Amino acid sequence: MKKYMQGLKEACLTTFIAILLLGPIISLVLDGFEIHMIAQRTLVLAVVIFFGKLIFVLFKVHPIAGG
Amino acid sequence: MFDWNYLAQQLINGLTLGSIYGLIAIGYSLVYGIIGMINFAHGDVYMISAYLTAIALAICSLFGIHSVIASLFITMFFAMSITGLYGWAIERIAYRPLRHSTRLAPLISAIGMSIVLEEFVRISQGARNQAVPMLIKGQWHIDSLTLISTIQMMIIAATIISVFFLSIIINKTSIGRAMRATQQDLLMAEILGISANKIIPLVFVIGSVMAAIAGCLVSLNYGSFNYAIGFIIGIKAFTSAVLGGIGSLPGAMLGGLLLGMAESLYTGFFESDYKDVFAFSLLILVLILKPSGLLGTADVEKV
Repeated sequence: MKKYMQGLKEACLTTFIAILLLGPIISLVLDGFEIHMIAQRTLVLAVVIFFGKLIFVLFKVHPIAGG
Repeated sequence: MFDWNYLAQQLINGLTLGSIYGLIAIGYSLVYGIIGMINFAHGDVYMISAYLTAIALAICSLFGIHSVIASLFITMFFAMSITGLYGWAIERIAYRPLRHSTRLAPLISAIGMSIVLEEFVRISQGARNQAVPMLIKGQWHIDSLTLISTIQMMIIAATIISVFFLSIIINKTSIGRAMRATQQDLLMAEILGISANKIIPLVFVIGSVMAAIAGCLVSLNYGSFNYAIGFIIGIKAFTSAVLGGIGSLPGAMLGGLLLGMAESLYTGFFESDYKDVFAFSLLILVLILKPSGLLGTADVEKV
């Protein structure tokens, strides 16, 4: 159980870093001297990164992968 | 009759351009000095900082911050912090997992990272040219015909201040001592308790912050940029680092200044079409005469 909670924590941290890193460029699109915010992109990014990392970490700790 | 004012003007332009090359070249030199590899994604970090500058300025305008100094401060802080994070992420994703593999593997992954960053920005922001408002206006007369703009003065001043602080960090702090130790001998530094996993990412972050300063100031100077600017300036900065002696910080700065001056003088007195040919010919000439670069030291292999 502890390993799974650790995986969840890792997934949350990775998502947070990804939003910080990629969020401004992905969701704030330049149009002349103005910006358009496309919040859905950040949401999609967060979902993909969170579940991607979670699946990856859970697979690593699962007995199938020798974890 | 020779126009001395024109020469002075070209030298000022060259000094500005050279300062930018030097700031970016420092990133290449720092990373090469520590891990002996070239960070090919460094030019793209510079490109991302230009985009972050434009985004931060637009956010400032959106929130009604019209003070130039406040906007500039917020923009630089925003660009430097996020770009620093990019440096950390590049090391974490493209370099760390391959640290003990062959020398070619991280090189390829860095090229891959460069392409990923470029395409990520192109898809997110579009391929068109982007604009930044000319926030800093005004120019100063050195004499009747020679001018220096305020932003050019800012670029030169920012370069001097950045290099000054960087040299203090490297020469006077414990982190700098650890960086120098890692540069001399990575394995021995690790044996003595220096964590390579802390020092190497820090070097990437410092290099990226330097590139962010350059990207921020250049986009404010020229007012226009696109997703592909990182490639050519990355190659020029890499050339500067090699010209000055890769791995040497004063060398990177000297190489940048020389390249900037040479380009500017060649453009001013001959043809702008061949300025890159001239710059790279200069590099070839220097490398033939001094293969380790102007301030580089040749590796001595003990038998």
